[in-house]
Amino acid sequence: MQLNRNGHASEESLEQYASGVLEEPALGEIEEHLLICSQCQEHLDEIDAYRAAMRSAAARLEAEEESRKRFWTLFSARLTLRRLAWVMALGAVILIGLSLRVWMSPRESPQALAVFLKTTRGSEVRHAPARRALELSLDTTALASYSNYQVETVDTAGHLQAQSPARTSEGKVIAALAKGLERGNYFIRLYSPSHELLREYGLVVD
Amino acid sequence: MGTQADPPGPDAPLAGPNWTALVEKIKLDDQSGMEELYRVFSRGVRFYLCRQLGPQDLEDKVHDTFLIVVQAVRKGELREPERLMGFVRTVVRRQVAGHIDQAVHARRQQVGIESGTTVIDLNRDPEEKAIQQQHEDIARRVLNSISKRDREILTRFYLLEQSQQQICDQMNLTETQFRLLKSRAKARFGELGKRRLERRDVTRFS
Repeated sequence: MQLNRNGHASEESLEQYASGVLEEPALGEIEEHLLICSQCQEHLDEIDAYRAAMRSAAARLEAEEESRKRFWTLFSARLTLRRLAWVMALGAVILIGLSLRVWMSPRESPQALAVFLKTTRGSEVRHAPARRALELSLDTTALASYSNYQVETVDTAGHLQAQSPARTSEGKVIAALAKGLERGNYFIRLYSPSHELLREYGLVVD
Repeated sequence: MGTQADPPGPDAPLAGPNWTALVEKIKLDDQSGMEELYRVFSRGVRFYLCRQLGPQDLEDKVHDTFLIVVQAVRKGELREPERLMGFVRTVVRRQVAGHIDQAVHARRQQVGIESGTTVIDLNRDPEEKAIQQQHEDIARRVLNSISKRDREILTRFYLLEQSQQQICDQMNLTETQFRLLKSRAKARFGELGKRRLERRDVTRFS
């Protein structure tokens, strides 16, 4: 009996009918019922639509899976040990070539950026770009003159970041920071040869 | 006369018309009998023919079917009037078989002849295509959201059209497990479809 108590086809029967596995006399019973029952016709339409959607989605997923498998099969079949060795050797040659080129090419040392620093109090804090070589010109107005100076760069926590000797030129102390600085706020400290702190300058690296 | 005046509600028991009385009316060439026959069966016949043969020339096929049924009833070929439903089914099935036979025959004759070949347009209209595409996307989501094993089970059922028994045997499943997986996937499909529909409504009215 393919019809339920309400006289309609059961879900199971309609599914079997949709998949074409129903046989006589059940098939006859369902088909005769479908001839006069719009509710079951609609239900069968829904089942057909669901089955079609599942079928095409599954087919598409299977095809994708199949092409992935085929690719890897082809790839692994072609990639014998000998070929792999050749590919790796070729890769190594290319890598060595690139390294040599980089190593042998003349290094472009970007020109150091000149930054003129005045004392922090009462003067504007200077800004400099990050990771760029800097040439610091320190204002020494009203300071005792020495033959040489020491310049230290510390961060806001007072940790030493760079230490560089300085030279004097036209009344200024020049110190170079070849590697530049990372972004942050720094203090440039100028010391006498006897390591006496003479002056402190502020520098913001952006 | 106990014929159906209105289609029954969703859960209302479906009672068939008084087939004997209906057959009598047709035999007597009573117009109301013809109308009733058409009203009871037209949708079902159309549904069956469309499902089996597609929408092409559907109205003509439905008309031919009714003509055959009415003529046969009048000639007294239907010996058991209460079997009218079965008789209509037989006629419709013969119609389908005839059309398929005709199509096969025509195709055989047209082998090698390039010109004049009638190609039935099986493409659906753009709206149906869009709906079908949406269903497929949802089904794809359902299949992607389940385990590989579960997906294989559904693929075997919907795509490879393996029987429930075969799948259960090969995948070491009980009938209950199989049914549960199927019904869960279907419920998920319905749920995702509903959500998509709601989202579309929200977008439309917002």
